[in-house]
Amino acid sequence: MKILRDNELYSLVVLLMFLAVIPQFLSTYNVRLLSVGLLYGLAAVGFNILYGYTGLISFGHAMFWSAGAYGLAIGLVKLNLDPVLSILLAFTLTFIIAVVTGYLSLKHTEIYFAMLTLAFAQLIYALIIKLRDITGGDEGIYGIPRFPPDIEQYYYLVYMIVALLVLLAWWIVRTPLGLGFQAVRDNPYRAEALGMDVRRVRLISFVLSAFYLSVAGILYAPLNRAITPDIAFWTFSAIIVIMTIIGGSKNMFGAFIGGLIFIYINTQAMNLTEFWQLTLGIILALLVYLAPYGVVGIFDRVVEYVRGRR
Amino acid sequence: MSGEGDKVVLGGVSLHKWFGNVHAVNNVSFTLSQGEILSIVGPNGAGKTTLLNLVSGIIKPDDGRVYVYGERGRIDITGKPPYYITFLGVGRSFQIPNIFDGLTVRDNIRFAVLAYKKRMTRFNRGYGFYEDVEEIVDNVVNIFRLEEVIDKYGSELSHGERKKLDIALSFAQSPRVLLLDEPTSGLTYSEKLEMVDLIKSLRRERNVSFIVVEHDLDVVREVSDMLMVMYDGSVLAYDKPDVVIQMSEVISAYLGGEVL
Ligand SMILES: Nc1ncnc2c1ncn2[C@@H]1O[C@H](COP(=O)(O)OP(=O)(O)OP(=O)(O)O)[C@@H](O)[C@H]1O
Ligand SMILES: [Mg+2]
Repeated sequence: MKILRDNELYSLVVLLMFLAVIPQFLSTYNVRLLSVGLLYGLAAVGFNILYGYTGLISFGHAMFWSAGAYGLAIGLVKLNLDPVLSILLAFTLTFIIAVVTGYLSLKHTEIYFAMLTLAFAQLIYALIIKLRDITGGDEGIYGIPRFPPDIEQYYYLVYMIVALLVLLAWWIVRTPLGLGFQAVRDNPYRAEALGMDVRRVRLISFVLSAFYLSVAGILYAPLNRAITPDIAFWTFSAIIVIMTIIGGSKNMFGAFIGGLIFIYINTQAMNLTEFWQLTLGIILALLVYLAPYGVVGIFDRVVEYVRGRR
Repeated sequence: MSGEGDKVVLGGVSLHKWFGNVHAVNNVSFTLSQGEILSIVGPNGAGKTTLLNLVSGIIKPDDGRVYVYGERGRIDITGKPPYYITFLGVGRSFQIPNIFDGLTVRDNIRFAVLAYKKRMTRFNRGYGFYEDVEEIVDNVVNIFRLEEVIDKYGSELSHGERKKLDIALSFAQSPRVLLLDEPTSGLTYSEKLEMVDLIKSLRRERNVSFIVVEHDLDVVREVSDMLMVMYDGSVLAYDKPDVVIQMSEVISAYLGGEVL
């Protein structure tokens, strides 16, 4: 895993440069798709703060993407607020949900933690369906304004925010806070014995991670112009987990790539066969079996192999 | 022996711990002076690890008290959480080395220092860019002779290196007392010698006091000022090592050679 670790920033910068140029050569349809890819990448990076770095697996992260998306959409469409206030509303909603669900879920770890996050996320889903007046129920919210309206211009707005936040995540895991995350992941008992407040650090990681998902949701709602409750359903939480694992949870580059790749695997599989969920399942199973460190792990092994032969 | 004026730093009074029907620690008391090394021996299941757990706050005693003595007098630490006890200067190592496998040796020690300095929630600087921290890290690496493995991940270390790193993590937090649970178990002969030197030099140069749970009698003879023999949760003997070792021959004869 050495190449991966040492060259992560370099890999990220090259990839981001590529992503800055590539829309010039793509159709509007594909630019739109790539915008979603960026947001999936951002979501995976945010999820990976909690999963890859703090060692906690949440099956409920769709609730934070939804908190962002619904918060913004409700602000803009239902309450006729200006964009700044709508974003503020989205963040407030995310923050409250994250602190409360995080505080309660983090009384446990491992599978119990995962189950609790899943339960809370389904609760949020149920609320979205029930509170029809505010959320539009199962029809969702339509006519969300996009600024700038042009897809390619909007891509660059998304791009700038995503690039900034991905680099920020790269940075955070290299600060004392990030070291604390990793220590908790490896050995919470020892971390505690060495004087760390483990639950507090876990909660910080959880809320930070939720913030990333929320930003992705906030950017997603105008991109799509409409949102429906499936972004709050548990299957979307599973997708967030899956794409992080596909890319590789060992670092932020892997997670980011995972999000970008996922959107293409998903669309291709959906186009090619009606059994796309099955196909996706098989791809995932193969990946986990053959490449436990994800796509980036494969890349790493190839590079090591080529270097070794010379 | 070594402590001038025998300033007491740590004490346990009539400690008890039950696990169901098992009386794991039965009325154990001790005092530890500054710079003193107290060794504890006893067969498997005697309650040695449990006693260290009671002192370091990992489990709470059912009865009895634990005290730390500092500048501000006596502090009752009975049942206090581990991190609280750590900050009062009582560090510990574990029977099965307890380190961070996904971090390099350097980052393991950095973590210990940052946690001790209560900087764990900062994110204004990279964790390798605090000069005062780096100074301590270099110092600890030097004392524990970990230079050669400094950039290896915890998961890549040998058993002996893991044992050393485990103790180094606690030592990085400037403890006044170190509780070591079988520091030489599973070590090669030369690693054992190194460990003995290390314990003695930390005591000599840093005035650290120790409670050392140990099976190897050669190590015990070499380092101890005082020796406690535990059996079935109780204290069978607690005195100067040569006294206890004579006594313990009597005791082991009595118990069918089971004690040591
Ligand atoms: N967490 C626990 N739950 C239940 N029983 C325990 C627990 N910890 C220890 N015991 C029991 O308490 C007794 C003392 O165990 P302890 O680990 O303190 O012994 P020890 O002297 O350290 O032995 P060893 O030399 O094998 O490390 C044993 O009978 C053990 O089975
Ligand atoms: Mg033991």
